Parts: sequence; C-alpha cells; structure tokens
Amino acid sequence: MEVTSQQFRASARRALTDERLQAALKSIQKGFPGKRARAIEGLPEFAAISDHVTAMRDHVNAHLDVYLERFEAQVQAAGGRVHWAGDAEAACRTIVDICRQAGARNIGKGKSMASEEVALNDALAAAGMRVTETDLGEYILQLRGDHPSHIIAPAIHLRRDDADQAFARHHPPEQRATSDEPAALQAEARRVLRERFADADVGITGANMLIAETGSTCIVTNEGNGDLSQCLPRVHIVIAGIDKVVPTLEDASAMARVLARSATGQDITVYTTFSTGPKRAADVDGPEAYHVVLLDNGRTDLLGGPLESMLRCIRCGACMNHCPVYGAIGGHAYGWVYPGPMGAVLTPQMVGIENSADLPNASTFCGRCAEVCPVQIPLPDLMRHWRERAVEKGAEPTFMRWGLRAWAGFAARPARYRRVTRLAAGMLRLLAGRRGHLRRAPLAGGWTGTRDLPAPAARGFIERWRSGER
Amino acid sequence: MSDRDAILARIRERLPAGDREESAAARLREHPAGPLPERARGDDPTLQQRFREQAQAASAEIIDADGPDELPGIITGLLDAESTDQDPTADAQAAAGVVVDESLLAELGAIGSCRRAEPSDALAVSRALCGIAETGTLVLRSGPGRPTTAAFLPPIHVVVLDRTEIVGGYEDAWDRVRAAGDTPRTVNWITGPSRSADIEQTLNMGAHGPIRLVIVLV
Repeated sequence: MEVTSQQFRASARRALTDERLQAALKSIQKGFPGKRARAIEGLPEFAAISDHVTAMRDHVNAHLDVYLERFEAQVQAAGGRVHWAGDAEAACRTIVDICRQAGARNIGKGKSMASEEVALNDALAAAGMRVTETDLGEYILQLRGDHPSHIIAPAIHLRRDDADQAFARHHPPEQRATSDEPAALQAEARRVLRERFADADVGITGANMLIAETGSTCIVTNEGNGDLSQCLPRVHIVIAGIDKVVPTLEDASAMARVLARSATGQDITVYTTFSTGPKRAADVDGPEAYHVVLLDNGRTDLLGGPLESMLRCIRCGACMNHCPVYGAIGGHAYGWVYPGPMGAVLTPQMVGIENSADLPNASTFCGRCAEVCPVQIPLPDLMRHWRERAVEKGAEPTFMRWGLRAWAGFAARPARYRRVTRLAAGMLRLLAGRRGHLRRAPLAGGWTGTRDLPAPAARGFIERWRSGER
Repeated sequence: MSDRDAILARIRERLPAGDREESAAARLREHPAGPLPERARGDDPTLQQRFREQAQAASAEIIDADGPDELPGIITGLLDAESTDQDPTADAQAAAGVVVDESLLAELGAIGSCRRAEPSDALAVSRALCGIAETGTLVLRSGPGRPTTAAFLPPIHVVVLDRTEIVGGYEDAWDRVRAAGDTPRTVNWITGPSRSADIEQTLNMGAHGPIRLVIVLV
C-alpha cells in the first residue's frame, strides 16, 4: 500500500467535510467505547489481568529470541515449516514461492494486518494468482479497490449502499440479494464466498498469537472465514509479526480475556482457533501442509529502545476507538496500514518519520488511548518521542520550525517579552473596543475563524503581582 | 546471512546479555496461570448454570437431553423445522447432508455419516471435549472421527456436551486438552453462532459459519 502519510493535513481536512465518513465515525464512537466499558464491568478482575498480560508481554520481549526459537522447533515437531522474513519483500517472496510450489491458482485469505503491511495481495496478483479476501469487510474493500480504515472493523468508513454497489458490479445477477438490508447483503456475500472457499488451493491467515509452548498459531474471529480459509484448502500459510509470540497456553488464555473485551466489547469472539501443524494422518480433514511466516519489518528495531513497549501491542483497536482525532478524521487520513494512536507510533517506525512527521502530532494528548490500552502502552509518550525525532531530523514543516525558533529566542528574554506583549495586548484591546472581543485578529485566523477572541485584560498577572495585588 | 539468523542476531544485540534460556524454560515448563476470574470458579451446579447463561447470551441455543438416545429425535426435529423455515441464506434449502462425529454414529448412523463436511450439508453434529463456564465456550478438537469442517460449513451446528464436562475457565480446558494427548491439529473454542457487523455495524448471524449453534446437554 502506498504511503500517503505526508498528505496527512490535506487528507484530514477532506475527511472533516466528508459527510458520509462523519456519519460512519459517529457510529464508532457511539458503539465501541460503551460496549468495551460494559464488558469490563462484567469482569472485575480486568485490571489485575491487564497487569499480568502487560508483564507477560514485557517478559516475552526480554526473551524474544528464546521464545521464537522454541516456537519454531514446536511447529517443526508438529510437521509444519517456519520461514523468517526480515522485510516486506522477503515475506511476499516466501509466500509467493510456497503458493507456486503448491501449484496454486486460487487463494482464500482471512483477515491479516501483517499481510496488509507487506502488501501481500499485490505480490500474489502479480504472480498470476487470484486472491480473495474472505472477511466480509475486507471482501467489500477488495471489490472496491479500497483499504481498511480500522484494524478490527476494516470497512467502518463504508455504508450499505457502498457494499450494494460493489456487489452489483462483481456478483452475477442470480446471486444478488433482493434488498440492501445488511442481513441480505451479508447472505449474498456468504453465497458467493462459499464457492471461493471451495476453490481455494491455499488459505492464508494472520495470527493473533503464536504459542511457543506448542507451536500453535491462534486467530480470533467472529465470522468463521479464517477457519474455512484454513480447514478447506490443501495448504495453510500463516503470516504474523514476531511480536505475536506468547509463552504458553495459559498466557494465551489470559490474553484472550482482555483482547475481545478491549476490541469489540465481547467477552470473547465467536471463534478462537488454535492450529498446530498440518492434518494428522488419521484426521478427517485439514490442510496437508502448514507454513508460518515470521515477519520482522522493523520490529526488532523497537527492542531495547524507547519504543519497546509498542511491542506489547495486541492490535485490539481500543486506542483508535477512544481517540478524538481518529473519531474526527477516520483511518485513511493517517495514510498507511495502521491508523489511530498505535499507527502514529508504528507508521514512523515502518515507513520513516520523514514520511509521516504529522502523525505523532495528530493527537490532543488527552491520554485516553493509554488509559484504555489493555497492555498499558504509554502511547502519548511514544508519540512525543517521534515528535522529538521529527524536530531533530528537521522533518516538521518549515513554518513551524521558524516559528518555534523565533518564539524560543523571544521567550528567553523576559524583559523584552513583557514589553512587547504589553504593547500587543494594548493594541488588541484597542481593536476590540467596547465590544470586549475581536471577530478577527492578525495572524490568528485559525482561532477567530470559528469563534471570537476575548480582549486581553488591562493589566497582566505580573504587573498586578508587582503592584502588590494578591 | 539468512533472514532467520539476521533477525535473531538483531534481537540478541538489543537485549541485555545474560542467560535468558532458564527463565523462559521455567515458564514453559510450569506454564503458570494468571489471575483467575471469579466467574471461572464455583461448584459444578454453579458452573453448569453459568455455562448455560453465558452460551445463551452469545446466542447459542440449549437443549437438555437425558441421554444420547434422544439425539435422533432432536436432529430430525431441527432438520424438519429448517426445511419449512425460509432460510435467509438459501444455502440450506437444497442442502441435505448430515455430518456426524464418529462417537455418535451408534445413535445417528441412520441420519448421517462421519466425513469431511461439504457445502451442500444441512447440519453437523460434533462432540465437545468440554465446555467453559466463564464465557459459555465449547472446546472441540480435530482428530480421527472428528471433522473440523463440521463446525463451519453447515448452516446448523449441533454440539453434544456432557454436563459433567463443564469446567470453570480456559486454563481448566487446557488441562483437559493436555490430558487427552498430543496437541491436535486444531482446537476450536466456539462461543455462539457465526456473525458479522462489517456492514454498518449491524450485527447479523451466519456470516460464513453456522447460523444456528445448538448445544445438546446430556
């Protein structure tokens, strides 16, 4: 996916005036936070479990090599293969090769953000393979040539008529729904995708967790598409970041208790599936081959540095569901795969801060993201880190760099500062006249565009303090 | 250097030196549980009641049976009701096949067979290893006579669960899976029927998997 984070300001401005998007965003803010709050109310131990999972994730980061090697050994012991991919290109090449060797033409895919990160669909299509996204939201996006705008509700920016139009363009008339009710459209996608599942030679899924103890990969879904994508085709390929590993099944259980509650506000998703190796000799069904592609793509760079806590992230989406900036502009404005506060931390890491300098500024620093994060990532602190890096690299806009420099020089000379501000305050008061407020002010159009500026008081704080007022 | 060696080298370079093997090995060996929620604890009747409530809250249906010999009547009843219902997904209308867990062939051999599920199947009957009270979750595992496709292709999924196999939390379920032998290819935790809210956040059942999940408690 092309990085458009450089155009953040323009994209955000467009998003703010997009009425359809604004309506969709309202429904996120109405839906997810309330559901999450109710789910957590039903589990009084949530805070203690969050502490435990946070400590577990830190423990994994401190022993990442050991757990990854153990995971690899266990996958191999179960008859599967592990492939390591340093970057996006290596991941795509590995998966295309596996598909070629399997003689695959049709590929069914479950939802995977790692696959978005490496632009896997483009690579498979370029190799002449037909890829079908099978998650309902992802499927609609694929038909439209669109990308996810949310990591767990990918098509949240669309409405039913968008889905209806996409289906009308791509589905045969005899399979079309008779109404544009969500239930009817969902049933239509089900009918069409059943054939895709049956045709698929290879199934590709992501992973919510990799379990070192057993070599299992785990996905959590509500639709069942991730399961059909792996139990029907001959080959199952899993693509996952190396940060997905957890030590044991007990650790996976603790994480399951916070994941869905933080994400959709469910106690648990409908399907939590643990897959270990290919089908056994006496099994009735299941894939004949099982591959896991472990993706680095910049993750190891986070280790041992100021952003290490980002490796705890379990991709629940709670930070974006509670973010006033995400809620105002949606996910696409962020310009790459990961939106919201977690995206504002990850995107600079993966595409470079020089290409995404606005993202760490796309925050009011209200702190809700850190408050709702089930693994307690201090997201505002991490965004502040990127702000500092952006300034060091000179990646912030020119007017900001000069403006701040001028301000710094000015503020470091208190006597002159006071004289000039007193003068400016007097002028503003004069301009305000008897109204006591200004409709417009020089250099302050951003403020006065939507509200009036109150006139400054006649005497400032320091003046009054000096004159003995207490 | 291979990608594997390069990734592992980068990790080791960034982590403080020292023996990390032992503390990781200890965690794997002892697999300690985290804080167990109150809702995962209680005596058998409490857990059975909680399982029932949680499963129903997740839109699963529950049928109480005295024993497996009631199964043929239950399954026939479900199939008859379905053929007269207007099924919104329409794929059940032409559907006829029934997939049955091998352990239930004695009761259901006349209605279905144990095999991989097909898109044309109307119903599947699985047997759960156990049920988890804390969230009303069923635990199924793949293996000889236990097709995984049964849980996802047919529009109706019936799961037979022995009341005495209801445990408190997820950790208890893993004890059962471990006790049953090697890690199976697939362990499925299933909580209610398939659903999606991807179109306008409107929740509808039967996204790709079953539209109805019927738990028969024996």
